[in-house]
Amino acid sequence: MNTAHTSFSNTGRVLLYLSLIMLFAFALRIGRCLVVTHMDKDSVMYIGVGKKLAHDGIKTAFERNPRIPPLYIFTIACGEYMGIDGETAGRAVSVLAGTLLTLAGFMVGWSLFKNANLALISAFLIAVHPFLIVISEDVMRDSLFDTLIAFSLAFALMGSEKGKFWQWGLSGLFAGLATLTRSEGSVMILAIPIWIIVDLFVKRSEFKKTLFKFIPSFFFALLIFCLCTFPVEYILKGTASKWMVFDTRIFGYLKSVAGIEKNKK
Amino acid sequence: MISPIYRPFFELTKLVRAFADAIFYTNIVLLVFSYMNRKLFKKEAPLRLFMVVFVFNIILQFIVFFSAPYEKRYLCFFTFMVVILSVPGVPKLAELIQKLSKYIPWLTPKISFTAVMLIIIGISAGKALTPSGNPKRWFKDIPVEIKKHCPPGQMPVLITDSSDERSAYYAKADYIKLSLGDENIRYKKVNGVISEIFPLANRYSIGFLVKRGVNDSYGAWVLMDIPHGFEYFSDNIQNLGGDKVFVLVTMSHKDFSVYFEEKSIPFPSIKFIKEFKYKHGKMIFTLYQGIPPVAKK
Repeated sequence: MNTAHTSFSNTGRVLLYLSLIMLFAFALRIGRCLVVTHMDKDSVMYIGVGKKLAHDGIKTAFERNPRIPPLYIFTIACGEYMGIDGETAGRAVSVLAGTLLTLAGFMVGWSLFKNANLALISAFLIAVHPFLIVISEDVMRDSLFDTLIAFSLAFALMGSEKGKFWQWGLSGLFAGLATLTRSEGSVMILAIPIWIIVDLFVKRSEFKKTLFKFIPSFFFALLIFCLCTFPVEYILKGTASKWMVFDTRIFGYLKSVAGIEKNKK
Repeated sequence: MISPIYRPFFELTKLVRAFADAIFYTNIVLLVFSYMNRKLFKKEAPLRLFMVVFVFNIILQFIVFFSAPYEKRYLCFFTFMVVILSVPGVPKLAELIQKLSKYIPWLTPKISFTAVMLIIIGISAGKALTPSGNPKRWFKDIPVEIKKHCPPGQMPVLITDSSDERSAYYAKADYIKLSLGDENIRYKKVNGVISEIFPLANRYSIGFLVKRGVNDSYGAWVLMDIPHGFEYFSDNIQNLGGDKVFVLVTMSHKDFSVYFEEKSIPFPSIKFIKEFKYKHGKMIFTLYQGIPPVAKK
């Protein structure tokens, strides 16, 4: 297998193959929708909250599940508002997100292998993976979350090489959107400083260069992440929602492991 | 019943199984070949970042596993990362198949590679597009029956002992749970206000009608503001709408009747509609309909 960099003359061919893989991924996910007879048990709750958001407004929409992150619910509500049934809207978002995951796979593969063929294989394996197809059909937030966090990873990998601010900014933005879909999205923002420490240790000879290159980049990603998430938490404060950027379950567990107990009344 | 000594081992086995199911067997094989072909990963900053996120993700999975009810779908991002790690396995596998060209002259590198890809498509897409072995037909059959019997223009009410709301959703019905002593009820609703009560012992909550909690009572069952117990079952159905109220129980009519016989209460005035049998009779649902409301004098 040719492991050389792809030349510009090959770009058209790579894009054509990538488009075909994405089309195939889309067809497989639509095919999965056709063989499934019912949706997941939790989907009823997502649709219920989405419908309430569309018809009754934000104040009481989240009372049925105050901890649920708002982004996927918002997409269902948008569908409902536009006259598309909540179930169809939720499924459409999952299918489209599942299809776009192949693009994120291509970008991650490209960053790791520096080879167009291997990047295309990455996209292909993601397109045909049964578990990833199954979650791309359900009225659940996992498909959207997976795609958003994968894009966040892809841009962070690109940024880790060239250190361009816009790449880190996009990584922060997608991590923020992933957090608005599922609280585990913040894992990207927590992982970047650890990686900087690892990189500083590995490239000790370039300590200063690495430090000045990536610390501002991280803070820029963090800033975009915060701008994307905390205003939403603030907007939801006056409503039935109790969603927080950092999942209370995980921090509760870490507190209990560390032996820190909550102050009791 | 699993002994407490084996409990952690059992839980860990469940997690490993969820990991294997999510990754899928073709990718487990590819991972092995990928390890043999690991030189394709460029040992640069992106790989280090990828591995840090990967390790973080595994730690997170364990935290979620031990802190909340765990579901396989939490592994979607982990699966994505494992698929990327298994990519170098594809050319390695094609390379190994290519070695057979000594015996099969027409086996060119392109054919070997295409063969690997076709095998992956066949197994993976085949698995994804196979209809579920458990299609749960009752989620569609029962709502059809409800819609057929519901008075026109009325929104049905479904009282069921199942905590699964899908039948009610597909029937476009209001969902009410019939407690058969399997729920700890911690809240009650009086005059529209939900307040906490001392949890009811299960044996006292047979025949109680509950709804899903909201806000602070989210995730719990809330007693409806009506008289409770099978003694009031017929009256409650009348008050909730009579013939637009449907009762669905996950047992046969005979078994449901026992609840009333045990308390020496006459079977409520509801109309038997149909008994649904699935999985060779192992799964039985019985559907009833309330009688039309009696005009009050």
